[in-house]
Amino acid sequence: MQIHLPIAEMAVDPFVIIAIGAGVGFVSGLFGVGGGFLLTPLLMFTGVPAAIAVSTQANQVLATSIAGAAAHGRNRAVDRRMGSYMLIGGMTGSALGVWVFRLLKESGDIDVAITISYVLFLGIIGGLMFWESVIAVRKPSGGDPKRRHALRQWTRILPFKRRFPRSGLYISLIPPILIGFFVGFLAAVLGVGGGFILAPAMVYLLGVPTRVMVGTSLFQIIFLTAFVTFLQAAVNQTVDIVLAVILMLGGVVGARLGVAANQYLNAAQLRLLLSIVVLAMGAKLAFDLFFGDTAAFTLEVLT
Amino acid sequence: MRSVWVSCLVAVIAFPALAQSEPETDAVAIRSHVAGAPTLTAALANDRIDVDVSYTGARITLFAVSTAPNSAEVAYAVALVGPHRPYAITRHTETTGKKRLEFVSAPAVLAVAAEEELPEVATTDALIRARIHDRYAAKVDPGDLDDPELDEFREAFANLKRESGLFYTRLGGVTRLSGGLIRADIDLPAAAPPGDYDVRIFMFQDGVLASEAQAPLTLARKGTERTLWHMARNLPVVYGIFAVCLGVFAGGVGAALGRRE
Repeated sequence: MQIHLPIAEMAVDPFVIIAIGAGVGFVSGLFGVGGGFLLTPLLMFTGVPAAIAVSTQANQVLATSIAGAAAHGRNRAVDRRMGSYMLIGGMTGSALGVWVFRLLKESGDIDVAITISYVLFLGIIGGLMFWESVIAVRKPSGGDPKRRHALRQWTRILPFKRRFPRSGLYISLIPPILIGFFVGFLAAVLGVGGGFILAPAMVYLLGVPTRVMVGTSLFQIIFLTAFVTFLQAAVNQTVDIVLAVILMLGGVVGARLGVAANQYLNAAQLRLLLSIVVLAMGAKLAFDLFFGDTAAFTLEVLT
Repeated sequence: MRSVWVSCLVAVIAFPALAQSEPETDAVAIRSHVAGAPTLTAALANDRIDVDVSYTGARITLFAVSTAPNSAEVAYAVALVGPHRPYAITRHTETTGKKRLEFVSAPAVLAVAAEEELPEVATTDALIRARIHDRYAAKVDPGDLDDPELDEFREAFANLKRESGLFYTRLGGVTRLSGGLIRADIDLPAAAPPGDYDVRIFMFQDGVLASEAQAPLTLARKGTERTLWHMARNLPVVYGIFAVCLGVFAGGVGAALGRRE
């Protein structure tokens, strides 16, 4: 059985697309990352043009994030106040990042430089996180990193302190905005969602409990992906709704299962698995840089 | 079924052996049409294909009548060509950076079905002349004709199209029936974009293109496919809001289902 996609102008097997949606939805619900970094290459692998894959994945991630965040919300694991502050920083950072990205592009071919810095960045974050969580998993409690850690002193020294009851924190509102800004900026310059950069930053730099981190990350991904979906559809006309609907069928179910699986793991095990995802992502990019992506020619239709 | 084919033939619009417009000057030297060559007339069994979400490709059947004698010196080929669009092809290299070349016009699809004898009967020049040589399908800007790397870009264009299944040449699918009647079946790929196509039949004789005829084919969007495509193009803001609402709705349904559990 095949279904023809109106915008991608091609036929796909809906069961393959549902399976892809479910798999990525599961990862999203489990770790609180959007999953776009997995979904885009998987869609391209099935033959969907790159521009359509990049735009349509945002629409699917929007649906899975809502399903996932709602489930985490019922478990009282979404810190909306924290998420909102990070979102304010994130939106500003993204806007600035998009502008800087364009400047860098105009100044020359920077693709390789971006990929190298990205690989280094992911490798360092993933490696440190992996090391920390391996040690934590061995401890009988298997819980979150120490709450009074030197890394997080700055969140208490700065002014404008607020209570974040869901995260059990009383910290300045400047750090969440700053981290949101930095991640938004980085994500825009690097051309990815940034969920898997934000997630560890929340745990290690702000002291948000791992379980609340997952729900809060999904909460703010909802707004970012809604924004991206709208912009891609309105400006580039590259969102394929039929493809998005098929993806969502699998995605919302996968996200629910991911949230359920989340309940069976302790905080340290979750961080360990997330660190493996971050490292795998870095390894994939490094592989592409050295061995893969040898496409010598690319073709585009001019309209 | 036979009556359908016969009625199609009755409705044939005679296409005289078309004097083809002069091909690009960069093409390999081309010989002119043969004077007093036999003629071809052609018609499609179905000249309109509807594309809805259930569309998964189609088989096009063309009937033609040839006045040529049924001999081994004659070979027929059928091509499904279109819709023509401008393209840009970019070469990426780490040492010399990017190079971009634009083709003024090239078909999105070039599907060719030919008789087994075609390679023996038709020369490369003749195939170029007929515009069914995939390497010479794209029309180049006159300013780029002197580019020393043009051939490399032409080859890359044909390769990318072949990889996506939109360019192909298949030996077989062309059958000579009695009385000069020819039947050709050719597959339109599922990834073929909607638009205006031509189905062309060519007769090659003694190595050269002797005669040709063509029939137009329309691949038209229909139903849901048409509604969504028009909305995306003509009402992009509404389409964007619709896409966001759809995501929110799907996520909400997922959340509600989870609550029930």
